[in-house]
Amino acid sequence: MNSYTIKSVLKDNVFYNITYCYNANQLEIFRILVALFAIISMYTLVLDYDVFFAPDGIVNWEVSNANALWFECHPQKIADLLSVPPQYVMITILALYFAALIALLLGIYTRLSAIVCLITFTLITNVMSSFAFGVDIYQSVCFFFLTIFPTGYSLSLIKKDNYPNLNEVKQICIRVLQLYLIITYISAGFEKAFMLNWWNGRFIYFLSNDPTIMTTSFFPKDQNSLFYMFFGIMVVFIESLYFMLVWFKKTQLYILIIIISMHLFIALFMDLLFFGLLLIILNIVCWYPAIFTNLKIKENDKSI
Amino acid sequence: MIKAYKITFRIILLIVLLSVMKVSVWVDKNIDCYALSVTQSFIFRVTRLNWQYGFFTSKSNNYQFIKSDISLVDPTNTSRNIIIAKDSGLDKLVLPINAVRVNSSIQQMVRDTLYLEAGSRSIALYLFKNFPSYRNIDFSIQTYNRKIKVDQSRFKLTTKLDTLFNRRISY
Repeated sequence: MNSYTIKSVLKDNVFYNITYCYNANQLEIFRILVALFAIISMYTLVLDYDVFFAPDGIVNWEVSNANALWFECHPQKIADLLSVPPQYVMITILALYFAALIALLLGIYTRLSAIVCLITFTLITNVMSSFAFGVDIYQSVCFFFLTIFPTGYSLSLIKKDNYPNLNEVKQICIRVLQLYLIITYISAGFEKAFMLNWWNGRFIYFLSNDPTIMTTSFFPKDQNSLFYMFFGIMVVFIESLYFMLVWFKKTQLYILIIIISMHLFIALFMDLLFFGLLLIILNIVCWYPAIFTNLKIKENDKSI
Repeated sequence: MIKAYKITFRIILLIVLLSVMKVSVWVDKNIDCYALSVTQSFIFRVTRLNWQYGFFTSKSNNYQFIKSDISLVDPTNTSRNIIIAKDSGLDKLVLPINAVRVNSSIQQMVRDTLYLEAGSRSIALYLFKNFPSYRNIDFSIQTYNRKIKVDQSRFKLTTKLDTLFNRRISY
């Protein structure tokens, strides 16, 4: 593919052709999937309430409160302010969070629900700050997007009234979501590209020999170093070139299958189930209209 | 509509600014927690750990991972001893699906001196509450320092074990 084509594809599709990879219900599907994901992931955490959320859980509130900065609101601060027992505050926050998530899922006052979700989720993550990892950051970004995106105009119990520019605004929002996903992959890919150990296979070898990272054995041990090198270079290329390959019709489907398989691998073999699942959801939401269109073209095109 | 995006952009800028303000110096000056204050004077030396953590920076040939052994101990009757964690985190206390959070949290606590004392004390309080008939908890945290060597186009690992934290917390 020559540079002219790359340039024109990026120019036409990313910045001008705003309807590319767009479906009228895409934002609503994003809202529903994120809400569903958040309900399931928080439900599993609530089953371990005593460990994660109780004021005398494994990491006491004393520690998490001290770790929170002045602008980060910790439930302990609320409890002190209102002079109520801290566990009441926590249970109220969790109840509010679940109620807001259900409202978000069903499409009832979506923006308000998203704002409540974002605030309560931030409070919850402040309590369990030492247990938080990548997935929580992605999830709070998703809530942030839901507070500004118009997501209550279809697939909702209480539908909002359409306005003339709605479609245009929705298209911009989808493009923002796509660009956000792309930027995360670019930064991850380029960061890896600057590390020599990703190129010479040592990183993958480390990974396969660290029982705290690879909880399920996947890579065969004692292979030739080229074997590990291949996987390392593959990951660097997939993540670094994702931003480009995902726009081309010919490569789009393949890069998405590869990236979803990679997240499936992370979910299953590194025990990061929710992290893998959320990234798969984001990939599907961002690109499903184009994939369906591609598949339809292939079905109808008998010459291939 | 353009105005809304301008406001959003400004909010993002504000968030970035607030994130930049999160500096450890500020935290150190404003500590309001007994456990964390104790940690500051704790003998544990961060230099021992060498937080050029091989795995994450991936720039060195050294690599280390941390294991923690945590047991409820009854010195008068050793048959009552319960192993909470052996060569891992606190898996047994949570659902398997949440174990990764607890394990990585323990790893973080050990990597961060600020947390080590406060973290182990927190875990102890939790365990004493859930197992009221026990009065002692043994904590032992080790790092496995590994070096990678290339031997005829194959990688080989050498392992050196260091004990970082070995203490009994009594109630």
